[in-house]
Amino acid sequence: MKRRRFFKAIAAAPAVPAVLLAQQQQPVTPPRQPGGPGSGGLPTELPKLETGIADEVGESPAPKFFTAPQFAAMKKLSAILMPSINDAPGAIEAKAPEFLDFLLSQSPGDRKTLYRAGLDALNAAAQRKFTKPFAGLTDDQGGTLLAPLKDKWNFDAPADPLARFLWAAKADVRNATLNSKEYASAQASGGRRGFGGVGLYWFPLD
Amino acid sequence: MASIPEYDVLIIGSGASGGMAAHTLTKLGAKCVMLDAGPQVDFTRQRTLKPVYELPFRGFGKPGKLPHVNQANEFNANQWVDETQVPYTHPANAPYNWVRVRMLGGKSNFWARMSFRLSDYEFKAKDFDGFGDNWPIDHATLAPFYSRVEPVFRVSGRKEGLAQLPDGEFIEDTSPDSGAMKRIAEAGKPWGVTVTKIRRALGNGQLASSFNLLLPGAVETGNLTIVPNAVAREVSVDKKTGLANGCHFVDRQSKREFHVKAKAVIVAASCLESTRLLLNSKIANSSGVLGHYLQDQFYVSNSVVAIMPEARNGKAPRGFTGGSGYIPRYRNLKKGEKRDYIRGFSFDFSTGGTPDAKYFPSWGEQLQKDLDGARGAGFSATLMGEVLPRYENFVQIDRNKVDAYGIPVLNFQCKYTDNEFKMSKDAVDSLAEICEAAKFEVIHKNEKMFPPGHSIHELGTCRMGDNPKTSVLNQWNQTHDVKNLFVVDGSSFVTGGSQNPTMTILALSMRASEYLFDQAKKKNLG
Repeated sequence: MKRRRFFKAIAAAPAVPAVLLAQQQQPVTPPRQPGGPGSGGLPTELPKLETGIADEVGESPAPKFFTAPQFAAMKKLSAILMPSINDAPGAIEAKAPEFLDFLLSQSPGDRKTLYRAGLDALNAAAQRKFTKPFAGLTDDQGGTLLAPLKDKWNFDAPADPLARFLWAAKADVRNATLNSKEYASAQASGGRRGFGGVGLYWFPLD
Repeated sequence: MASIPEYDVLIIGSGASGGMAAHTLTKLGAKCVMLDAGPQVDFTRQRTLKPVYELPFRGFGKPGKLPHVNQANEFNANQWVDETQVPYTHPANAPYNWVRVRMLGGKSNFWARMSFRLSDYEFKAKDFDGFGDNWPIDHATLAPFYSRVEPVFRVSGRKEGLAQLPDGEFIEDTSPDSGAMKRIAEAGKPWGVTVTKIRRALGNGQLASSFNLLLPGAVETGNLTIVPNAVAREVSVDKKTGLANGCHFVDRQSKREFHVKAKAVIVAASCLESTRLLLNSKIANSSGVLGHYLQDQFYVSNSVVAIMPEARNGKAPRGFTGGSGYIPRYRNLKKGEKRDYIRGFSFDFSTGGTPDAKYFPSWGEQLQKDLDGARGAGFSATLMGEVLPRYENFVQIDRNKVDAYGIPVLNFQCKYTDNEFKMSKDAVDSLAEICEAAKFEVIHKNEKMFPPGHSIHELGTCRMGDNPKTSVLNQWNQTHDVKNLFVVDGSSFVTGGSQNPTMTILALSMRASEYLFDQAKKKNLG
């Protein structure tokens, strides 16, 4: 049997074949008519509409997850970790901090704690060393507080909570930036192919 | 009212093992009915190309969804079994990653297609190192079936004549080895390393699956009735004869209960779903070993990550990088080899990629420079190691929890032991040394494996053997206790080696199905 015929045949099969229903010796529910209720039995054709994505039409409101000092530190950290380079959008242009605020608001408790405690520790360290919050530092000053990222990455997360947070933030800020609409658009308009991030999406199984 | 059909064989599961059973039996003329817990998927309509930025979570995935499926991402999250629908339990300090697919074709729709034979280092492992048990068969017994399965799946590979990785009926891979592959092969000689091509099922089109390679032919015979969305609950037994006579199942969508009758039953629901079904059915366990000897293959992705210096800054000589290779087992191949562990491991590796940003101790512009310099110059290897089959690693029914269909779930009790940890350390250390001997710059090595189950190669729990007191199945995948009940998936394995088990599962299923047909013809099934 050709593959196409097989698919056609199997798609036409009811969920439970009539022969098996007969084994139950119970009345069989009549098959549903094609089309939805009120369609008069006609197949329902739905129009295919062009749609946009939320990022294009709406602004993210004030942070929901981070406090104001945490969010300011998160933005500064994002800018240091993933600046705009060679016209490619950086984390700020890609709204990575806003996205991470949303992501963390939905994340399990241990992830939330990692970020909150990490940003608080970063602010505290900045105060101690420069008497300013982390957001008020220059990039060079901020960089001095990221020393744990100069260690080699290890499969086991570091024991120090600040180091653990910084490693997580390095990966998350980068991915949130590279996977943004802004980054993809810039890559495409720069004539670069394979800007990545296109995949086969699976709809939920019925 | 329609007459009640007379099925010769009920097949529970439509993946590699169930598909092969249907493929074999229907061609011999047996009337078969097949249940699968998932839907029949139209791959064209079920999937669509999307850019990652259109996904609600930018590719991160919905937090907390599929916590045990490392392979899941936001694109493919819906293809895996939802753990809230079909949960399982394990001790908090001993996680198990049970990765499942419920759709026609099962996991064979998604496997990595690595297609290897087991050798007598696995079939007769006890003879070699004294641990555990031998299989009741050897490679020579199964070789004719491997030879019939490989052409169906169109396995490509290069023959090497290795005892630890028997050759098969390959579509010969004649592509030249890259310079990097040759370098590793040369550097690995003192370690006894062989570098070969990955043996891979080419399949047909996008798939090398039961769905496109086995089921269409079975349906064409007119001897196969497929019932999707049928969640098997319990194999039924005739109280007078003690023989299996069908299965109770729940329709996934309506939750309505059904029963299907057959003269013989093949359980092929995937390793642990098969065992769960038998445990819930309270059959085939006079030995008490049903559920025990759970094993898999431990995996360490990116176990060694290196940079090939001549390929830095885009300056790779032509033909030097690109492509992937396979390093078969090179430890414990000689009796009496002195190591602090038994059995062995293998690697697959790729060359020509770019190492992940996390491997560079930098950020910002410096990180970008580091990545640009290493672009296309990367080497990375995945370690696959044999896990010893131990009675102490097992699954059992958790009587305190049921799934969305009211079926009691599995509880896992499984941990890796020193043998696996020591093997992993030696494997990673030795490959790192080989890379350094090949003048690669090793930038990362890791011997820590993912939790058990991660490889999606769960094996054992319904193992075969000659002794009914220590095994569930005989050498024909037939249960010792119930003559007309067969289990043909990975649960039948005695040992698993480090090779992907799919070809062995297919060969065993074909062999068992032909035996079943022959015995039914001779009226030897009760």
